[in-house]
Amino acid sequence: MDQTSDDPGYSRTMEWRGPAVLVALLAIGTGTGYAAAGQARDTTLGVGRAVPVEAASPSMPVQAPRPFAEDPDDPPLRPDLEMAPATLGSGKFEITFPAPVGWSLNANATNEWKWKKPGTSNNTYVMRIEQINSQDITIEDAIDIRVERLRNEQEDVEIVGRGADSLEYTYRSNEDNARHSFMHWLDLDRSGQADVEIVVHGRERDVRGARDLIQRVADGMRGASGEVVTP
Amino acid sequence: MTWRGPAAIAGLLVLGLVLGFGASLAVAERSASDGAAAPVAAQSPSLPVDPVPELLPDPTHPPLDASVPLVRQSVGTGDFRMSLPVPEGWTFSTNSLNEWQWRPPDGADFGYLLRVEQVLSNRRSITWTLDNRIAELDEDEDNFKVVGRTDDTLHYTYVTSNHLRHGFLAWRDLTGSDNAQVEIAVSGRAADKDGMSALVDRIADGTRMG
Repeated sequence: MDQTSDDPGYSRTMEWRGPAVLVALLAIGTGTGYAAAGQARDTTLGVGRAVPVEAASPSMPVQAPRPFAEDPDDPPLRPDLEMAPATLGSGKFEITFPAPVGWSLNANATNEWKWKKPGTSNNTYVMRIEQINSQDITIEDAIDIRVERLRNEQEDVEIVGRGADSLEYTYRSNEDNARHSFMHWLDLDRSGQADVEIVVHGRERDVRGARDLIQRVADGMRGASGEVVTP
Repeated sequence: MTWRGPAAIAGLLVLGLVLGFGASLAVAERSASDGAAAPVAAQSPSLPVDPVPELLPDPTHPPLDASVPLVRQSVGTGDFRMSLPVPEGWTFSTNSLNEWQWRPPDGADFGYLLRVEQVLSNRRSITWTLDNRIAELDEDEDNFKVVGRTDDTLHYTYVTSNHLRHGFLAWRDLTGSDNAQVEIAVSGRAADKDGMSALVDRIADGTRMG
């Protein structure tokens, strides 16, 4: 039996089913379209200002390897050098310390001196001592400042080690030599401020001697008050 | 007529897709929720500010005279000996091997004083030294403000022990080394500003190596 023509209830049902289906279809279409746009937006839509994106393959800028310049072939600095007492400065700013016997002394400034073994080539090894009490900074600040300047002003800097009053680092010199340096700071008068900065620069082959030299100079240094304060 | 029903259904679906896609785009463009949260500029005040401490009155002795008589004095050693004009009769003291200070004989606390330092062992340009000093003062001093600067001078104020202080600094390269070699510093009260400005210039211009 054909219910469509005979059943009035069926007829009324069909009257609202048609628009309902249309509304449902429109809703499904709208929802699906919204979702599709959302999916597409995650990868294609740009909103706001353009900004740099992270690089890939390679993710970092790369430079062609730069070989270091060839070091002078002077014999390496040896540990256990013969030392003799030396004095620098005057009055309450006088310092005494063990210095390598036979090395020459040159003043770089009123408050800074350089020791070098006569006859050694440039870019071998050298020791520098500076009184830095006029800077009014703690040893910790002195190390921080040194590290910051190294990173800002030198190439290929690597901090090999940092202690409470010392720093060991390597870097590329302005002449492209690989350098290995040791620094030490001392508070000689218990002021809480760094009074003296000691530096020994050398080649990789000088590391054993440089480490031994700066340690012996620092350990043996005294100010006019006759004592040294270790952080 | 049999194809009209499916066609209408398909048409409605397409229409819905287009409307939904467009609505989503419109919402996304108005939305500000993309990306990580980031700081926004502050307002009222737009910069962090130090509270201004209560200021105590300055000592009342006469202001530094801009034409204070100067006499030549030598400091430093060896190749780094240096001569400079300094106020006549002021008390001289050595702060370190490379730093010296002069105070007026009747100098009260929070009055004015002169300090000179050889800075050539720093091996830094005057520009670097000036920029670095501003950063240090900003970090170390309360209520630090730059009043004026040139290529080789700085005038600033700060507060110490509830007193407003004015500082004048000048740097000179005495031998054409391209680095700052000497630093001249005078600090004092607001009443000493004109005298300090003139004194720093007179000393800086009169300093010689040797």
